[in-house]
Amino acid sequence: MITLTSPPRETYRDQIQRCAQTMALGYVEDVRPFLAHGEKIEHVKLFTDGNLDKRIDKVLDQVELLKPVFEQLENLVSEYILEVPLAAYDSGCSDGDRFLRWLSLTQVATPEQQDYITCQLARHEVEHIARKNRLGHVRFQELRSLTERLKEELGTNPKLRVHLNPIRTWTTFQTTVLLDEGATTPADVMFFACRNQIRTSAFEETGRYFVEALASHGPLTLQDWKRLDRSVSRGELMEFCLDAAEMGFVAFG
Amino acid sequence: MSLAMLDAVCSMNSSRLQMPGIGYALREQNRYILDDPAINAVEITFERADDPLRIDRYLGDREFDHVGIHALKLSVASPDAPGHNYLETLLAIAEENDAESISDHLGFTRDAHHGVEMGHFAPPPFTPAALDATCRNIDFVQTFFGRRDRRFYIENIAYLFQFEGTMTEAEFLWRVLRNTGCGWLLDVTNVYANATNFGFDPYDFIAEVLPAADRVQIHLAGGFFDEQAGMYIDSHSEPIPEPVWDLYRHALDQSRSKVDAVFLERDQNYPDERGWRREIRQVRAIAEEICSPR
Repeated sequence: MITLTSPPRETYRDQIQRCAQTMALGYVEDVRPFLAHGEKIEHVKLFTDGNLDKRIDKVLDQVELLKPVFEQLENLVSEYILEVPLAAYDSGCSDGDRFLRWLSLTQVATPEQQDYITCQLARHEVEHIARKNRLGHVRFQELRSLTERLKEELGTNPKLRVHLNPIRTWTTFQTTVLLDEGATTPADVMFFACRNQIRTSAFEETGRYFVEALASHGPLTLQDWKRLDRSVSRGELMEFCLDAAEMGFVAFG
Repeated sequence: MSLAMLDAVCSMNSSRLQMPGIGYALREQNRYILDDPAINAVEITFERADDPLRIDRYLGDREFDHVGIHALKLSVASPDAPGHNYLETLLAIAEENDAESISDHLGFTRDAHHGVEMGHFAPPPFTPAALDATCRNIDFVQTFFGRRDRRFYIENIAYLFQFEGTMTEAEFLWRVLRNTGCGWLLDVTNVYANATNFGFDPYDFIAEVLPAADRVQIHLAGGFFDEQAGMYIDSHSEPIPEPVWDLYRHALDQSRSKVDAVFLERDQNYPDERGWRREIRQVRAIAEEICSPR
């Protein structure tokens, strides 16, 4: 009978796992048995320290928004990277995202600090959605580039459909620290992609109702929308669509 | 060499032999000099271009004779093959930018698919087991990219330590190239750094490995000698040192019929405009000199 496991292959896997897992957290002693004769463990430390320093810089860059409200941010990031290794294929903001979740679990945040965390998490979520739906993002932004011209036809062209930006996410702010003066809380806030930027918009009940209606009906003409929802006037729908197009989360096509 | 002289060399177009594409590893800091007459190629670092919100092509409207994509996380010396999503995204960036080649490093950055990432590549142990895993992964990568006509190159890395092994780095790399048929991204500065730090002859290294490579790309960069660590650090932060220029000249001379592109890397202490232009023009001037008929 032929065995399906190859001992050298499994031994190699064990070696790489042991070395990578220990070096990812900056610990080097477990690497010592695998080093070539005469190699110094200090040089492994130089390697891991350099990697961790770069990781700190990247995470700080990804959570820059939090700097004004977390005085010890750099220390917190340093603590985090020694506890949580970078995950395989970490891309873009995922390490920053994990740091924010770690922060929420390990620190007692004030409501204002929590809003900053919520805001940064929502921004990362937009990027995550865009990564999963590249085609949707690119198509919507193409439509948006035509919207300035097409908005003139909104009231007259019966075939013109209203599209909702697919790269969006909702969150709720508990304080006004990131909102306009006079805003009421808790506030529903939508984060959405606008070209290669992320924009936000806070909504009151009616605005959110329109967005959710558009999300559930899919792209539709103003006429169809009015037919599906008799509780609102055509004028209200038009006003919403034009404002939303101006902000960047609705396009016409 | 003065800029005027370099200009003159750049304008010579007499029957060149296998002139490689010449260009920078693209950074926002050098984007503005990409129209320099010395530049006809560019290397895109995948992780920089992989913005999920991107709408426009990373290269904008610019066209080049050669575009290469340089990746950091294929981790070909890991026990597992690279992940499908990573490969697909890499290929998407290559296609968007009309890249004809993709490269990554001879090392490992992670342990397994759902494991951990170290943040930078460590050298593999130079053993048959590592060779087996590396060749298997490169075959996998080449099959994936080959379907869309993208050539794959593997780069020799600069390392600060070595694992216990049964062969030299040169022998390991020779076998990788011979077994897989992939191209060699010959990082001249990394050869110089390792030769300085581990006491071998960089010219012998190139002479030993080069016959196994069908196609070659070249990387050049400048680092510094860290007195405390007693090591040359490939930091991409300084001008190219003289011994690296000499080694580059030698590498081109030995492999000129195989070299597709030469890319200059700089990631810190960015020079001013004159500095950016001077160094790339020197890269081209040397290539012109070596590749001109004798």
